[in-house]
Amino acid sequence: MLRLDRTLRPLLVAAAVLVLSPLTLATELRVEVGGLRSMSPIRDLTDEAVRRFARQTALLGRRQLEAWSLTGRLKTEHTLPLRVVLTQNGVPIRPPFTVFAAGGGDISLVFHTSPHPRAFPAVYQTLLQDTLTLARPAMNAVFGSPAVGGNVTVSNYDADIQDRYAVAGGYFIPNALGGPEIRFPVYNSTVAASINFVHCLLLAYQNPEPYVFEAFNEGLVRAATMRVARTPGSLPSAPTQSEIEATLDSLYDASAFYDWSNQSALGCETFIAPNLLNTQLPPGGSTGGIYLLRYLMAGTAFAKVIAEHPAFIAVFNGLYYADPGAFTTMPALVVLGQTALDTVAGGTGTIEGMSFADWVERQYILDTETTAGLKVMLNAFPIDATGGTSDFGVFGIEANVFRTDLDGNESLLVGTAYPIYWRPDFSRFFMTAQDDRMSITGAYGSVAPNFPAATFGNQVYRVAVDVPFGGMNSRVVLPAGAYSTGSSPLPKNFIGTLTGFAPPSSGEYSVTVEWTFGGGGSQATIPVRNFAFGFNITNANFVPAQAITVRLFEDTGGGPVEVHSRRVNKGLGMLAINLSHPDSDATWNDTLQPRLEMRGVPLQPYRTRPTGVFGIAEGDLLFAHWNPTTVSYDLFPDISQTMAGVGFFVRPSVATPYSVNGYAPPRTPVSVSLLPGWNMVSVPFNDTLATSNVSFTVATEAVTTYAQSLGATIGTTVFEFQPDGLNPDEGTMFPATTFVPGMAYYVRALRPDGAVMIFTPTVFSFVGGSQPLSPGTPLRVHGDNMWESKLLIENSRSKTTYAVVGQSRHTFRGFDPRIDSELPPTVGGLQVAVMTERAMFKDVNVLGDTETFRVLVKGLVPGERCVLKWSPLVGRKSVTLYDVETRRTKRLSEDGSFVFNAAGSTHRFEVRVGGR
Amino acid sequence: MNRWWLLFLGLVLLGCGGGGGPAPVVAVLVGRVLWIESNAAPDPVASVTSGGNSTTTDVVDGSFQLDTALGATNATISWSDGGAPVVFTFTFPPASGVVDIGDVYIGPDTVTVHGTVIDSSSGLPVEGALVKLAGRSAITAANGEFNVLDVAYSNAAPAAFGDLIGEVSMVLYVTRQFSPPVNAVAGVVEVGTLQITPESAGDPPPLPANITGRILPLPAGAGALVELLDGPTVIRSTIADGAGEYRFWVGVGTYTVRATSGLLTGSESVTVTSQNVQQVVDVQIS
Repeated sequence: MLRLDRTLRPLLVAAAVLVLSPLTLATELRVEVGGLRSMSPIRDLTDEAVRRFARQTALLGRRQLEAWSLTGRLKTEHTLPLRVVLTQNGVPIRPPFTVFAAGGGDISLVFHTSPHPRAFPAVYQTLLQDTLTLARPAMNAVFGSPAVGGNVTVSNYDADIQDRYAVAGGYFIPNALGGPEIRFPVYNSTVAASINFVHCLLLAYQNPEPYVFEAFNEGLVRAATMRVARTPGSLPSAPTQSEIEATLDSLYDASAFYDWSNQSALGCETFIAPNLLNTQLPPGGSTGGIYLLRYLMAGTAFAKVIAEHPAFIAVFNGLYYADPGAFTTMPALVVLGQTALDTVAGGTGTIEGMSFADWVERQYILDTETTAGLKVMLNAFPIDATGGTSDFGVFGIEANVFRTDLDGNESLLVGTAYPIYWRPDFSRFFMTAQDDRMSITGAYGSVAPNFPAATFGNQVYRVAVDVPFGGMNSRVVLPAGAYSTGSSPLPKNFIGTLTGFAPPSSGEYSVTVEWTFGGGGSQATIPVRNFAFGFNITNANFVPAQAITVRLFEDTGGGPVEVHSRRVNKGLGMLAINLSHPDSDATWNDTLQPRLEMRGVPLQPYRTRPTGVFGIAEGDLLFAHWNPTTVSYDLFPDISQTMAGVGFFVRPSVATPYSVNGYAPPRTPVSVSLLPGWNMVSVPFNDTLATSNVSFTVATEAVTTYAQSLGATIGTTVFEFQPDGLNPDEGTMFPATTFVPGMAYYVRALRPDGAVMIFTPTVFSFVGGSQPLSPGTPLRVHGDNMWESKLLIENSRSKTTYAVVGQSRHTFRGFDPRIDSELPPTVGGLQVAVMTERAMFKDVNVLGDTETFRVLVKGLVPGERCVLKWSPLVGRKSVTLYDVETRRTKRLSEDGSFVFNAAGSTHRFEVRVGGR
Repeated sequence: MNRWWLLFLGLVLLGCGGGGGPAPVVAVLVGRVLWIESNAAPDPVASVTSGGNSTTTDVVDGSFQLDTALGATNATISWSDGGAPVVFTFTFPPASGVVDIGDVYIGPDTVTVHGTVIDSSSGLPVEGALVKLAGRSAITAANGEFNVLDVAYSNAAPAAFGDLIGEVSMVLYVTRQFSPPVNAVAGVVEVGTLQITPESAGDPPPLPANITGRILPLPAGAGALVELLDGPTVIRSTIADGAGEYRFWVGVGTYTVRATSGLLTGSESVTVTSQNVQQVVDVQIS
């Protein structure tokens, strides 16, 4: 452990500023050296900064790392090689090009010689030199030649800070005073040392101006590191594959469960939120959000590219090095990527059957924009069953819940989530008490349910797991019984689910797999049961990273017919996939009018930032979402996510046609999380729904129908917004009877736990799915004398609005949430309200001898001719209408009407009724 | 009647049994202790003492379960990493059955959290509302003000305080949450005004807006035509309500708010630097 001089240490610590610069390379750890000029204190300062970074990142991820250790996923120490840039007054110190000659060429290593304090033991120095020598051919082939060749000093950096999770994986300083330098720790494991040294060497290979985006910069290096490490003969001492995988599995490769983890919460500008690096953490550490997963997913994303096109990164880097200043934006990098693809493919290149632009759009880790708002990230993995037990489908399901602000800072949230487990027909089922409740601390919570075998008589089946939290929901789809069971504990290496497909009309689905490695081969007829499958493909040629084709067949009696195929670039070893119906990949086209609109998007956009979704400039976008917890609107840019099921107000200044790509599997119910109070929701898929297609559930309670939920789970009326024809910034709230895609609705959740609103598509093909298992007691009992009538106002522009009044023996005077309905947002425009202590949309009072409802019509143009219409909804009632403004009265019977001229912008009436 | 008497006698005898030793265990205290700086379980674990019994918090999630005495009203939580001990005492209603004290926070320092609760519809202060934060609570006074005392805080890492989620609840009102600001001045964190909405409120969310204000004086301001101009162009217009209030929602730019009521007019300039910044612009007409 390095010891700093007592007087120097406080100064150094104070001067070491950990900055993840949003303007330059996000991965960079910047160390401000101030006025220091001599090498030694700068080196100490840098080491101290790296130690602090390493300790912080280890503490940030400690809970996650411990969880992975317990499940066997983490097999080695946590290391995080990084790039460190020295700055003076915030400006990077100019690299010493005199010793690091530009123009490409090889890298040569320079070691200190003993007794220099930075010298390595001779054996270890040999290991590092051999690593370069042996790995160089693979590095050059996979990553391309170094952008700038020359000498790189390698110094012994003792990274031991007495924390088994806090080990810096070495770091590269392009602008160290003595020339480019790698500072590297002494590992016990030669394999870990070699792999991490390859990582550091590739950082040194990079141009002095690396990629602006961490997802690209770190992703390319990590993908190449994996590829090089797995290239036979590229590491010293000829380690076995299992020795190599112990490091790569833990710290680099997320390919096995990439489909499950490919979620929008991954997207970000910097993998580690700036605030988390500067938060004081306890010795025990925290979960630190999802930065570990982000690093793994970035490397794995590009590993998928080179699984299909091994030369891609080398070509991509070469094109970039030629003019790095030209590729500082995502659109430019996407063009560059397609150029590189075309080059390596010798024609129009694709990845997994898609253009580079389409493919990048579907990888959430490559979303480099900050989107402010609540994020729920689910991370799932199967757990090996214990032989002879009742284990059937045991999964670890981890949730990370955090709120991102507009600077990319992430607040780690605390609370309780109630996971929802859906059978294949989307009926809800419950597990043990501890699996039905997820305690979230420091953003992190986990459950490990064992999905029972009895559900489908020991057949595999699909389980969709929703984790709603704070108005946001995330879903992962898992194959129960497909991986490892008590009766068959040997893990399968090919497992998956179907999403969006209809139940087979007769017969069953099956899948086949075709691979290209070793001259090609295939695995035929893997049975699919209940939308899930699991199989152990024993052919060794399936194992390597490569492009494979998975085909889905349906046999309706006349032999298998292919209904879908998917190209998948897999990593080494097992693969878990979710085969989504091809219509899941959807596009929504619409036009926003230059007025206030309450809208939603009926799919989960691949890129959620609304400026991109609508093509409206940052400074012009008016985008708002009601936050019932703060009783105020979250206004863009404080909120900048466009999510399926979440409604918003938007106000463009000109007509704005837009087109957005996203995910919306057909035949798949979608859950939308509601908070107590008013919620803005929208239909999450492109389907117009009746209320019978909407249901609700709360915490661990059974699902209830829309009708059952009214007045108990939600308010009695759901409202939509109708823009005003004259004033584009006003409109009318109107009771909604259907849910239309692209529009949004105000729903008021009455329960302290909020609720989950379940939208079920009209084409669903299941009987009873997502509906309550048993009908509940009707909440509204109509007595013999109950009546309700609509009081509708139509103005001179044919705009209408209405309120409802009535009487019932089963209510009381005052607000009865089971029956009455408050008026939703007062938004200007034409609106009628029943005035009690507050403005009501619907007011049903207890039956009595006499009753007077006071009615206020708002949003009128003074003098305009309007019509009041009285029409029965339940029962029939004649009333006397009294026009307060003109003092006229009229008896209104069934379907009666009354014409009046607006006295002003408002007009008052009284509806006088007798009792029974 | 005799059988009831025998049952009562039996219960009395059961209660008199023994003598000496610890108090009979008749209540269970459960909860979760969190360290304010990390929003996670304290490490090393904390000890929880109540009713003469003690336990330690779970190392992973900070939860605990402790048998306590009937009628116990507080729990003391102690923590130390070798330095000065951190001791917090939390109170709860007299214990019986299972008492869940929820998430309680401890930390190296404490602050008082001050604010005011008002009715979102009427703007009037709400008396008797329960304000909870980090395991502490307070009841609002007649003027709506509250002081939540001895809330865990860290002077060294104040940013973590902003991750707390407090709650305001009141009978016949919708419970709402809030997050406190991070900075303490002289040991006080000011959360400002917290609005809560009556359950029967008819006017929950108004329109989104980032420029609000009033047209004054009243009553002339009520019903005034209020226009927002971008240069010479009117881009928004509305009618001020009965209180003279208006609201606009616009993008970044410099605008003029112009009000007209009969022969009375007035205007004010306003610059929107970001759409999420709320500005209040009152306009005097004359």
